[in-house]
Amino acid sequence: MSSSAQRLASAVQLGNAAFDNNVKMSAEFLALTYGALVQQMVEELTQEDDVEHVNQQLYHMGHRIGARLIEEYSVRSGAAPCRTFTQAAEGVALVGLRMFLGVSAEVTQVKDAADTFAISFQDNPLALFVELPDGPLRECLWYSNILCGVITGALSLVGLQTEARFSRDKLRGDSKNEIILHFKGRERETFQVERN
Amino acid sequence: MGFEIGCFYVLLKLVANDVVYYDFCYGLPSSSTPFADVDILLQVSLLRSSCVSESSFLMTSKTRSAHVSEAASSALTLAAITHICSRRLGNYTNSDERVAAEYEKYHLLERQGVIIGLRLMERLLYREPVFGRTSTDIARYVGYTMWKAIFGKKVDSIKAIDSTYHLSDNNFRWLQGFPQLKTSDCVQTLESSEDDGSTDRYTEEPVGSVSHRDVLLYTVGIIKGATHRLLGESSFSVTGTHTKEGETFFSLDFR
Repeated sequence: MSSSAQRLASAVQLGNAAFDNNVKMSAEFLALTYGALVQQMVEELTQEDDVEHVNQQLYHMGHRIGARLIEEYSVRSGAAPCRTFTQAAEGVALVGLRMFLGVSAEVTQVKDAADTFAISFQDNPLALFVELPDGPLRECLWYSNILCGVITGALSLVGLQTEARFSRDKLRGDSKNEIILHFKGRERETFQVERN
Repeated sequence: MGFEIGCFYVLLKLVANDVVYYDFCYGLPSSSTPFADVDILLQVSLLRSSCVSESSFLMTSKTRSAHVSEAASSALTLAAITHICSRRLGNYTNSDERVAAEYEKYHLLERQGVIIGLRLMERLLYREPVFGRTSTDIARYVGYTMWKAIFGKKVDSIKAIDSTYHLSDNNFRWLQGFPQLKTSDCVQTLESSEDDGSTDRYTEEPVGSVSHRDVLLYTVGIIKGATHRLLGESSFSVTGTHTKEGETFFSLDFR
């Protein structure tokens, strides 16, 4: 087994262990809460076709949530600090998504791009019981865009500047859900530990 | 007009696609009264229920109990509450305007909770039917089944005093991280008509734009929605209370 495969297997184990050790509750309640939230945001649109505004609201909300969840991830997942973009992407896909949402995701590096990864998954607990009507919502709404915000928010707290966006969504008829995660850089360390 | 359009759309969708479960993303028609909202939602729920039929999907859906991290769900809930509370923040020209905005916020919080509670009830009752309709059965359904679904645990205690049941949570998840009450003995969600006139008891310290009372109101809404169909013709009121000692309890009054 190559070192890369070993690391992947280890990350999957960490994700499963973190999920098993969680206080867990009904995925249905999460989906219903999220559905009511998205519905409320759509209701609040002053222009019906300005669906991108909902995408942005979900993203920004997710960013704040991610900044909170990263602490739980750091304390309870047992994952080692990420030293490379690859390790960070694996942490998100194989540990974080598994730990918090029970999602079994895959991560692959986008061809010819060392700083871009595709995270794909089949089941999306946020989208239980959801069907998007034809029209601007189905065409423009990334229903689970909050996930992209969570990912970038969490990574920003550990010094990684990223962009995340959905490229495929089963709610739109795609065969799977896919998020493209692009690393833009690493922030310089600003927290100095005094050494006596 | 909005009402007709909304209902027509729902009916059309159900008939056209023979959808067993459907959660439309267009808004419900706006309504000036909470009861009308609940009534419309109930109609939608009944419509959806009438389409349910035995199938392998449903059997799978019934037996499969997917779970997520409670931490993720609580983070989402608090974000949703914050979203409601942060609307219409601004400088008020007078106290009347402020009172009206606050009333609207409270209404929206409870309404959103009711929406979620109604839908949750549908899922819970499908999986774990509640055969009894006594007040004790309903209190247990809320404190055990519903709390387990939402928080991954049961309430810490249920105490009955006459026809009122107090469901106590010693460390209410959605108020963790909120500051301890200092100037008030407790915060409650009593309706304004039941206010004893004292404003001191409502002095509280908002966390950003969210207060203890906001969280309680949202939860009260969920309880109201989740119990709606169990009550039949009975009257029912729910009050949320958070004390200086950190205890949170929800009182179900069946008088």
